[in-house]
Amino acid sequence: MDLVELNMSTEAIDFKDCRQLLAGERIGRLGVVVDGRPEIFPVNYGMDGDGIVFRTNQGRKMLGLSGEVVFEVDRIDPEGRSGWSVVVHGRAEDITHFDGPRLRERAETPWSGPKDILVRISPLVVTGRRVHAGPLPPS
Amino acid sequence: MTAVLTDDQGMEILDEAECRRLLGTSQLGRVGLTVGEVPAVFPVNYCFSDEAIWFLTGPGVKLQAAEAGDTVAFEVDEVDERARDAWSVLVIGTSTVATGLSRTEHAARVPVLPWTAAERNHLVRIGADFVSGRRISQSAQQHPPRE
Repeated sequence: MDLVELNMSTEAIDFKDCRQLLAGERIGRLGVVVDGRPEIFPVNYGMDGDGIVFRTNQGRKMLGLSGEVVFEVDRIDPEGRSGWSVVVHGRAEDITHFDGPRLRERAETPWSGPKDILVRISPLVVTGRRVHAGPLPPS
Repeated sequence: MTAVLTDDQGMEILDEAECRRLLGTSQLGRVGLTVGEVPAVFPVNYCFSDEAIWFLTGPGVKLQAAEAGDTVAFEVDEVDERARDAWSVLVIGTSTVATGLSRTEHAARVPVLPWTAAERNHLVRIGADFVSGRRISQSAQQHPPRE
């Protein structure tokens, strides 16, 4: 198969639009460092102001939550020719004992059953980029 | 039917053969790196071939990780929100730059587009050394969602 070359352009997404895109999705990928190694997990999430909230059980995910985490949300067309990706770098905290039902409602109900730990990622840096593919200029 | 193994979160644990099969069914995944002590995640178009993940990249942290031979994570998932059915496969492996391949060989290895712009001429290989996966489906679900 040929490697098709397209005229791809990338543009940065401003903070306001990043926030809007984050609010419009429900599944993201959490990146954590466990024993010095990166791991990635999909999670159902909700928004709390600018923060990301989700539920988990004690497990590998929590082990990485003592420091900084990355949370990535994207929507990319199946052909891979256009799409966007928003990346939140932030600090994850176990807020199970610091918040009530309000946040629990916002954290999406995980499909895999009850998860008792509520985590909030407070963003430090939010970046986004959008990619478009256009036709190649005439050669 | 064989027994379904589940983890502490009630998710079905996929066996290695199924994980590798699923890796071959998708073209979009996310690479996870450690930059300093901080994780980073990037979506990439990839190809699963010869028990490895292959993708094209340009100058940047993904290429630096490959040049350094870092251990990286690679995650692929598919989520059907309507059916509440989802799977996720995580690969942990060594990232290296594939050198000595012609452009045609690159194309044969990665028959997908790099996700972004030009100058993505470096072919990166992540060896699928450790592979694990989970599936959540209505049928496998042990507990109803909490109200």
